[in-house]
Amino acid sequence: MDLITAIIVFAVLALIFGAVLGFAAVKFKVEGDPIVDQINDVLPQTQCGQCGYPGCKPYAEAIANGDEINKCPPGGEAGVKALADLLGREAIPLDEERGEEKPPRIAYIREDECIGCTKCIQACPVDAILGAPKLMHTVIVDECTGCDLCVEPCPVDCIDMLEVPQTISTWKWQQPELDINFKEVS
Amino acid sequence: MERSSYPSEIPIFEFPGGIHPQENKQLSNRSPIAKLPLAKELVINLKGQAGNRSIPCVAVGEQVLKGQLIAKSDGIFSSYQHAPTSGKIIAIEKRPIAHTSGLEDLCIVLSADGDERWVELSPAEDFTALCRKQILARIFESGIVGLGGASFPSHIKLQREDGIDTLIINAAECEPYISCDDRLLQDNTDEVLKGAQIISHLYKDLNIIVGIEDNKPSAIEALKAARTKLRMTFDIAVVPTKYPSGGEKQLIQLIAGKEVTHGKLPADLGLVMHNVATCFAIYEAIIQDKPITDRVVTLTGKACGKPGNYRIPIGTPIKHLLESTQTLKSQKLIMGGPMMGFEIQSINAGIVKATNCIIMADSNELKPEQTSLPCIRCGECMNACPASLLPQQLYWHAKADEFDKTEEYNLFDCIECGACAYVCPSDIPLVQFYRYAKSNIRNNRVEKIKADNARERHEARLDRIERVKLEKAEKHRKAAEARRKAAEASGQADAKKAAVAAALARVQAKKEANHEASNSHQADKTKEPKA
Repeated sequence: MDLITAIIVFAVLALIFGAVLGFAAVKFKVEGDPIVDQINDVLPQTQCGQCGYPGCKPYAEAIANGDEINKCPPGGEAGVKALADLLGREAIPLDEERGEEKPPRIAYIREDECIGCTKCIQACPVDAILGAPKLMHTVIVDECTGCDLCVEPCPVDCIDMLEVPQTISTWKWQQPELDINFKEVS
Repeated sequence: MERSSYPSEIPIFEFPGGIHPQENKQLSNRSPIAKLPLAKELVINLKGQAGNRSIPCVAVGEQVLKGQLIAKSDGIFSSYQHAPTSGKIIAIEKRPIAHTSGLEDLCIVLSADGDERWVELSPAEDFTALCRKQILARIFESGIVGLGGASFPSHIKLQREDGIDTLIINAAECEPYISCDDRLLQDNTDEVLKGAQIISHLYKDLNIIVGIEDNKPSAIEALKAARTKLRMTFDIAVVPTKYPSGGEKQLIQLIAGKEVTHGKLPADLGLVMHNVATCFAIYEAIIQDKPITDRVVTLTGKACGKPGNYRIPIGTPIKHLLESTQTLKSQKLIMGGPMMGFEIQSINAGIVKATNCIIMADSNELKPEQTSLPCIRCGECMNACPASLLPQQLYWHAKADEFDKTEEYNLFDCIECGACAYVCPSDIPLVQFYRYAKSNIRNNRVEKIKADNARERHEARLDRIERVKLEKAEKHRKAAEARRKAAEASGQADAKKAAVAAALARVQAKKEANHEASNSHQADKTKEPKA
């Protein structure tokens, strides 16, 4: 008798919890993969494809599926560290095959040499180049991520990648150097 | 230094921490505010205030009068700038500015003609006739910013009206060496107090308290005398001399006994605080219709030939100040006080509205930069911190680049007063570590916004490409359908067969055309016109 009561009690409990869980699964359904979004948040959104994937989101998906976290040169060592913290993995040095960490740069079109072929416009992942066929193109400086993708398609090589000059608003304090000389205590 | 025997008129509370550095104010506070000869060339820094750069509204070559508007506010968070003297605009270009980085920034360069001709002014003797909106507009258009050192645009600070019942005039001037507010209170007492009355009038009527350190007995006497003369009512809160009692939050804690907690503003406690020099500037702007063209600056230091307080036009190059005070062999130039100021990188830079002091130090005056020793965890910094932070903890995390941890320890409540570094027995440049962490956090925030923006644009682009593709497919499908219908309508029963035949014919025609083209060189040329 006791056995049957126990079975019934547990069966009823199982049903109730099942119903609650089922309801929660529908009601609080999460769209997309939250970990992919979190990884994507850490990536620098240069959309340069140096990682071998066609953009930051695909690389985020690849990381979520187990790819290495050191394939993003624009993110640099700091980016690898942030990803390592997020995913509980070990921070590994940047994969040198993918390129090296460079200071931020932006594309600059030498406008009198531009022939108006629109090839760079098609290559730009963030629509930061303005222009029309057979008319001069120019880069919207504030939107350029410095991904280099417009340089290669240009048939007349009129695009330069220039380092962003330091201004008062981008200037940062340096960490003080503490040159502490410890003397060996013998 | 002489202490005031004058007791405070209202009870004074305490703030945690604080230090008692050598005051050195007697170097400069003995003589009244004087004037120096006008510089030939003034360099007006367009980013001389907190917030965004002002936008120039004069052209190179233009003649301007003293007080004429030369740069406008960006409309969001900036302020107006006026010609400090009459003369000709000779350049609008990048010049060295007074900044720790030693970088250049956009400046208006004015060649003075020495006539000091003012623009037409319309003084308003009776400010009570003006409404709040008019006064605020005039303060905004006169380019008034907080002259205590932060140079936050005053019209923004005065914007919030409801719930304010007390105005505190900050006359504490706690930092060593500086005595410009002390002197201004002695030499222009009435004007400063009238400025305070104008602010009080802005809020209908405010309870006015002047917060002043007890090392300024003459200023307290002057305030008392002026109070009787002007028949004003206000309380003088004499606070004990302790650095940094002049910090906004610290002075509020001293006078009101309440703490402006994390993320709150003084206005949340019903208080508004303005500096002595700001009150004076408001008086000049409203009563005399004069915008900020100059300010009182303390020129001091043991190397300074003629230490004292001077009314100096904005944009006067530091080089000119050195020459006209006959300062020859200064080892180190500090803008601001010895605690919170910074070393001047270029003597060609002009002074800005925030410049309250320039220390021309000789070789043994300021503490030499010493090699830091390891932290011995003595905890002295914690005892000295006026904001009740844990400086040591902040130091470890900033050193290890753990910026999120520094934020957890409320790094942004740090007022960078330097009390912790002052007491540190190991001479660790603690404030520099906090500034390093702060500037990195700020930069990361800006970069995050940029990255989010780039992601949005990238996603919008992918969406657009997808949409165009679908639209094209839809168009093709519709066209095909239309053709099919047309064929059906024209009565051809075996439309499909006809379509196949037509397609075959097209392919055949193309093949022939290609064959011909490959035989002719001309066709190649027309194919690639750009090659």
